[in-house]
Amino acid sequence: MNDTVAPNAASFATVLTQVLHHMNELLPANEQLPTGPDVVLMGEGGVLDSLGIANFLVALEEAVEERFGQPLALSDNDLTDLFAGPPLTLTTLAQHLADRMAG
Amino acid sequence: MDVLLIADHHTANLAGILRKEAEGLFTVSTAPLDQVQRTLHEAPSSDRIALVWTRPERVSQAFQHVHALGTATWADVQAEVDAFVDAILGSAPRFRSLHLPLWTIDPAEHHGPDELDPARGAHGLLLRMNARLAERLEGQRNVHLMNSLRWLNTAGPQAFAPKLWYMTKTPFSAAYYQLAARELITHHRLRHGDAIKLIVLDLDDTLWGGIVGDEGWQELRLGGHDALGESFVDFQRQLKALKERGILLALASKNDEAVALEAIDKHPEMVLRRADLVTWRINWNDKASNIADLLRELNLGARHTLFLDDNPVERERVRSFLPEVQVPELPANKLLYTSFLRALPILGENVQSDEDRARTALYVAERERSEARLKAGDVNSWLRSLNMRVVAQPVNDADLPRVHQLFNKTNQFNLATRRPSMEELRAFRDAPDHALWCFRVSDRFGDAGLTGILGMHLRSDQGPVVTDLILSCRVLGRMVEETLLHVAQRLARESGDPRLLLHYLPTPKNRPILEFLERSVLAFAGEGRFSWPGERDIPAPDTLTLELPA
Repeated sequence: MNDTVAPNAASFATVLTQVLHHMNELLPANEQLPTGPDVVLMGEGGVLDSLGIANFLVALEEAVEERFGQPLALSDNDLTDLFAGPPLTLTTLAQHLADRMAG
Repeated sequence: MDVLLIADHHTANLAGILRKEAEGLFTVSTAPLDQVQRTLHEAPSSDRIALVWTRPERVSQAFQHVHALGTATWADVQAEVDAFVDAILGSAPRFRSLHLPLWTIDPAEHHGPDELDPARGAHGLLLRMNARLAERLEGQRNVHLMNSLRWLNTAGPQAFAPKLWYMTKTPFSAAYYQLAARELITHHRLRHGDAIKLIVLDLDDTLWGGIVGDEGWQELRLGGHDALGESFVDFQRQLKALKERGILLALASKNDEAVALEAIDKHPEMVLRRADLVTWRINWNDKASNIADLLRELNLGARHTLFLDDNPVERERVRSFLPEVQVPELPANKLLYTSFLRALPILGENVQSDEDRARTALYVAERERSEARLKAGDVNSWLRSLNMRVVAQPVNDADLPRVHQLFNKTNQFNLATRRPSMEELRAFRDAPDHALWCFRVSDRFGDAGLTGILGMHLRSDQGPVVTDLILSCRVLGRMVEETLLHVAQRLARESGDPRLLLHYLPTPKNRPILEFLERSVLAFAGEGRFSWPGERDIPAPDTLTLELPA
């Protein structure tokens, strides 16, 4: 486990970026995901398809536990909102996760 | 080349990883999910590679019961394994090759005190299923089992991905798929000409412990009641075993040559001796330049070469100067050298020809030939002094495996670089008005074996055409090339038309044959074509003895 890091929006954004980079390392250049803060990841118009969301959430759970020392269960929830809900960018998702962990 | 993924689970993650790892070597396509038997049954004939990935509980319902802590008999499991193998064998002729990972379940699973019982325990039955699979597939030329147990060992607890299984029907982690993809690629490369042919070795602290120039060979740590000495002996034994399988060994060491060779000759615990080494560069020159020089001498490509040296600076130097040479990071702890070497994917073909196994002896003979050349003076005198004998004859069934190997391995002296299958070669040989001849070369230093091939279409629209002209690099530059042309023209004349036409098809590697054609007796006829008008016969070289069938 790394040194304790406060699970705020900024640190979540760092973790999310790392997860996306790790996913991209496994893919050929022409299949890699865009990683900017305003790229819509999930929800309407999101770059992740259903398999991508599953891979992303599983990797994110591991990265969050590694980074913050606390588990965050995402993959056992109903994922419907993530496909059909409002667009989630890296920035808004980071804020959402920080709020969830805080509260 | 396309790899078709045929699986009983979702393979999109594997497909992406395989595309990335293959770097353009393969395209990847995916069969419909969980339709393994149907896909195998309906697959059309093609040049595709199939990766057939099944889970034991899906192949065998009986095993599924046991896996779920129920009961079943081995007879039930075996019948289902056999049905699966029958489908594999039925489809095998329609693929270039099929690759099947061994069946696995999570080794962490506990199935009670009888779990290893081969009649009713989940782990025991799984071992037996894999053994049955291997037994039924034994001897299948194009069906290969993949050792997924190695991936389990490497990926550890992260091999299985239970969350992804429930979310997407993907049973394994990305790390596990990455290991599988790399193994498939390595397997493909090793079987298609990219196998390691030469290992270049450092001496001090690589083949023995200590610095021979400082300590003297008597003080080296090699053998004896000493952990380190014992480990170096094992390392040398492993290298010697690779040599026996056809891998060449050479030395590149910064040392005084006489001192180093004395150690090799005199140390009682040395496993590797001079006769095991094809050549060496033992001097104080730049090691990378020495290796480049050594590769020129052996006429070998850098990508077929592995360099082992304990010194990270030398490793880095060789990597930067000769980027195609494979330079693994040897473990810092020398006790780990042998296990490290055993884990490297070095060996190529499962079945190696006698020529492969005798390769070191051939190169040692070549070294002696070169020394004779220095003594003999001019080239023709040297060639005559070799007492060379070339035996030419039509290819028979016994010759076909070696001819097939030469067709598929030879790059430099290869007119058209055709890569035919054994069946295609046989059909070519037996076709009307075609000729397929092979050439065996020997001299007073040794027998190089079957090293040349001539393929001809004797009555084409353009007259007699040489379709294939192939010669192993081990006999290049000894007038065997000219002998092949002589025989080609002789066959043309005997077929009623004394002319010859050759069409050179360029590849990144076959410039040596172009250079030969350009300096040969043939006339350049434009656009890669070379011809012989047939007004007179192409003479046989007078520096060797040519034997033809009566």
